[in-house]
Amino acid sequence: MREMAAETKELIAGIAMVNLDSMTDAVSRAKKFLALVGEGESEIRLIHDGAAF
Amino acid sequence: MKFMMIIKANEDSEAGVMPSEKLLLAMGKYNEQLVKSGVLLAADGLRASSKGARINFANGKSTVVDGPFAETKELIAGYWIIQVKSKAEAIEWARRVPFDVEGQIEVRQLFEAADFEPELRGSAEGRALLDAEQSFRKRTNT
Repeated sequence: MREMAAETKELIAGIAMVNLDSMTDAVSRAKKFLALVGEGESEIRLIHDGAAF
Repeated sequence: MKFMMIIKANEDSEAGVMPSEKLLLAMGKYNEQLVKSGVLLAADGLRASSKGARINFANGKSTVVDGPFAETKELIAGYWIIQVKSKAEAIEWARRVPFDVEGQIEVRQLFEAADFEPELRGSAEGRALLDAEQSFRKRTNT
Protein backbone atom coordinates (compact mmCIF):
# COMPACT_ATOMS: atom_id res chain seq x y z
CA MET A 1 0.00 0.00 0.00
CA ARG A 2 1.33 3.46 -0.88
CA GLU A 3 1.12 6.19 1.76
CA MET A 4 2.31 9.78 2.00
CA ALA A 5 5.42 10.28 4.12
CA ALA A 6 3.97 12.86 6.52
CA GLU A 7 6.78 13.75 8.93
CA THR A 8 7.77 16.91 7.05
CA LYS A 9 10.27 18.17 9.61
CA GLU A 10 12.30 14.96 9.42
CA LEU A 11 12.45 14.85 5.63
CA ILE A 12 15.54 15.84 3.69
CA ALA A 13 15.49 18.73 1.23
CA GLY A 14 19.07 18.50 0.02
CA ILE A 15 22.60 17.32 0.66
CA ALA A 16 26.12 18.53 0.10
CA MET A 17 29.04 16.16 0.37
CA VAL A 18 32.27 17.88 1.38
CA ASN A 19 35.77 16.71 2.20
CA LEU A 20 37.07 18.71 5.16
CA ASP A 21 39.74 18.49 7.82
CA SER A 22 37.51 18.71 10.87
CA MET A 23 34.02 18.76 12.32
CA THR A 24 34.69 22.37 13.31
CA ASP A 25 35.14 23.28 9.66
CA ALA A 26 31.94 21.43 8.75
CA VAL A 27 29.97 23.28 11.44
CA SER A 28 31.36 26.60 10.28
CA ARG A 29 30.35 25.95 6.66
CA ALA A 30 26.89 24.75 7.68
CA LYS A 31 26.39 27.96 9.67
CA LYS A 32 27.33 30.05 6.62
CA PHE A 33 24.94 28.09 4.43
CA LEU A 34 22.05 28.46 6.86
CA ALA A 35 22.75 32.17 7.24
CA LEU A 36 22.28 32.46 3.47
CA VAL A 37 19.08 30.44 3.53
CA GLY A 38 17.67 32.49 6.41
CA GLU A 39 16.47 29.73 8.72
CA GLY A 40 16.41 25.99 9.01
CA GLU A 41 18.37 23.02 10.26
CA SER A 42 21.40 21.23 8.85
CA GLU A 43 22.57 17.85 10.05
CA ILE A 44 26.24 17.02 9.68
CA ARG A 45 27.13 13.35 9.41
CA LEU A 46 30.49 11.67 9.08
CA ILE A 47 30.80 9.25 6.16
CA HIS A 48 32.32 5.80 6.49
CA ASP A 49 35.47 5.38 4.47
CA GLY A 50 36.54 2.10 2.92
CA ALA A 51 38.83 1.24 5.82
CA ALA A 52 35.84 1.08 8.18
CA PHE A 53 34.69 -2.15 6.50
CA MET B 1 15.92 11.10 -13.59
CA LYS B 2 18.08 11.04 -10.49
CA PHE B 3 16.84 9.45 -7.29
CA MET B 4 18.30 9.11 -3.84
CA MET B 5 17.61 5.84 -2.07
CA ILE B 6 17.95 6.52 1.63
CA ILE B 7 18.51 3.70 4.09
CA LYS B 8 17.25 4.44 7.57
CA ALA B 9 19.25 3.96 10.75
CA ASN B 10 18.54 1.34 13.38
CA GLU B 11 19.76 0.65 16.91
CA ASP B 12 22.83 -1.19 15.63
CA SER B 13 23.93 1.48 13.17
CA GLU B 14 23.44 4.13 15.84
CA ALA B 15 25.45 2.05 18.32
CA GLY B 16 28.31 1.92 15.83
CA VAL B 17 27.90 -1.82 15.26
CA MET B 18 29.20 -2.68 11.82
CA PRO B 19 26.99 -4.79 9.51
CA SER B 20 27.71 -8.52 9.45
CA GLU B 21 30.08 -9.94 6.84
CA LYS B 22 27.07 -11.63 5.22
CA LEU B 23 25.23 -8.33 4.86
CA LEU B 24 28.32 -6.46 3.66
CA LEU B 25 28.88 -9.10 0.97
CA ALA B 26 25.22 -8.95 -0.07
CA MET B 27 25.43 -5.15 -0.17
CA GLY B 28 28.60 -5.42 -2.29
CA LYS B 29 26.80 -7.67 -4.80
CA TYR B 30 23.86 -5.29 -4.90
CA ASN B 31 26.19 -2.36 -5.54
CA GLU B 32 27.88 -4.34 -8.32
CA GLN B 33 24.48 -4.82 -9.96
CA LEU B 34 23.87 -1.07 -9.78
CA VAL B 35 27.26 -0.42 -11.36
CA LYS B 36 26.82 -3.05 -14.11
CA SER B 37 23.43 -1.59 -14.94
CA GLY B 38 25.02 1.83 -15.29
CA VAL B 39 22.66 3.52 -12.87
CA LEU B 40 24.85 4.16 -9.81
CA LEU B 41 26.16 7.72 -9.39
CA ALA B 42 27.17 7.68 -5.72
CA ALA B 43 26.74 5.71 -2.52
CA ASP B 44 27.92 6.10 1.05
CA GLY B 45 27.34 4.76 4.51
CA LEU B 46 27.12 7.21 7.39
CA ARG B 47 28.75 6.82 10.75
CA ALA B 48 26.53 6.95 13.84
CA SER B 49 24.90 10.29 14.62
CA SER B 50 27.10 10.47 17.75
CA LYS B 51 29.87 11.53 15.34
CA GLY B 52 27.71 14.29 13.88
CA ALA B 53 26.01 17.54 14.82
CA ARG B 54 22.94 19.61 14.03
CA ILE B 55 23.00 23.30 13.34
CA ASN B 56 19.82 25.29 13.76
CA PHE B 57 19.51 28.77 12.38
CA ALA B 58 16.70 31.14 13.26
CA ASN B 59 16.32 34.87 13.76
CA GLY B 60 19.91 35.45 12.68
CA LYS B 61 21.41 33.13 15.28
CA SER B 62 22.79 29.62 15.02
CA THR B 63 22.92 26.93 17.66
CA VAL B 64 24.89 23.70 17.49
CA VAL B 65 23.77 20.43 19.04
CA ASP B 66 26.21 17.53 19.01
CA GLY B 67 24.95 14.01 18.34
CA PRO B 68 23.79 11.43 19.13
CA PHE B 69 20.20 12.17 18.16
CA ALA B 70 17.39 10.26 19.78
CA GLU B 71 14.91 9.60 16.99
CA THR B 72 16.76 6.58 15.54
CA LYS B 73 14.08 5.65 13.00
CA GLU B 74 14.23 9.06 11.38
CA LEU B 75 18.01 9.08 11.06
CA ILE B 76 19.85 8.12 7.92
CA ALA B 77 22.43 5.35 7.82
CA GLY B 78 23.39 5.62 4.16
CA TYR B 79 22.29 6.43 0.65
CA TRP B 80 22.64 5.65 -3.04
CA ILE B 81 22.15 8.14 -5.84
CA ILE B 82 20.97 6.49 -9.03
CA GLN B 83 20.05 7.67 -12.50
CA VAL B 84 17.06 5.79 -13.88
CA LYS B 85 14.21 6.33 -16.32
CA SER B 86 11.33 6.43 -13.86
CA LYS B 87 10.25 6.44 -10.23
CA ALA B 88 9.00 2.88 -10.78
CA GLU B 89 12.52 1.80 -11.77
CA ALA B 90 13.94 3.50 -8.67
CA ILE B 91 11.41 1.68 -6.50
CA GLU B 92 12.36 -1.62 -8.12
CA TRP B 93 16.00 -1.02 -7.20
CA ALA B 94 14.97 -0.02 -3.66
CA ARG B 95 13.01 -3.27 -3.28
CA ARG B 96 16.18 -5.22 -4.02
CA VAL B 97 18.30 -3.64 -1.26
CA PRO B 98 19.48 -6.49 0.97
CA PHE B 99 18.66 -6.42 4.68
CA ASP B 100 19.56 -8.75 7.55
CA VAL B 101 16.04 -8.83 8.96
CA GLU B 102 14.14 -5.63 8.30
CA GLY B 103 14.73 -2.09 7.17
CA GLN B 104 13.31 0.85 5.28
CA ILE B 105 14.38 2.61 2.11
CA GLU B 106 13.08 6.06 1.26
CA VAL B 107 13.16 6.98 -2.43
CA ARG B 108 13.41 10.68 -3.28
CA GLN B 109 13.77 12.37 -6.66
CA LEU B 110 16.60 14.88 -6.99
CA PHE B 111 16.33 18.32 -8.50
CA GLU B 112 18.43 18.76 -11.62
CA ALA B 113 19.86 21.97 -13.08
CA ALA B 114 17.10 22.13 -15.70
CA ASP B 115 14.51 22.44 -12.92
CA PHE B 116 15.97 25.82 -11.92
CA GLU B 117 16.35 27.23 -15.42
CA PRO B 118 12.99 29.03 -15.59
CA GLU B 119 13.91 31.06 -12.48
CA LEU B 120 17.57 31.65 -13.37
CA ARG B 121 17.72 32.09 -17.16
CA GLY B 122 16.34 35.62 -16.94
CA SER B 123 19.43 37.29 -15.49
CA ALA B 124 23.16 37.26 -16.27
CA GLU B 125 23.86 36.31 -12.64
CA GLY B 126 21.40 33.43 -12.87
CA ARG B 127 22.86 32.16 -16.13
CA ALA B 128 26.36 32.32 -14.66
CA LEU B 129 25.14 30.26 -11.70
CA LEU B 130 23.60 27.67 -14.03
CA ASP B 131 26.83 27.49 -16.04
CA ALA B 132 28.88 27.05 -12.86
CA GLU B 133 26.50 24.30 -11.71
CA GLN B 134 26.76 22.54 -15.07
CA SER B 135 30.56 22.80 -14.98
CA PHE B 136 30.64 21.37 -11.43
CA ARG B 137 28.39 18.43 -12.42
CA LYS B 138 30.56 17.65 -15.42
CA ARG B 139 33.77 17.86 -13.39
CA THR B 140 32.48 15.67 -10.58
CA ASN B 141 30.54 13.32 -12.87
CA THR B 142 27.38 13.88 -10.83
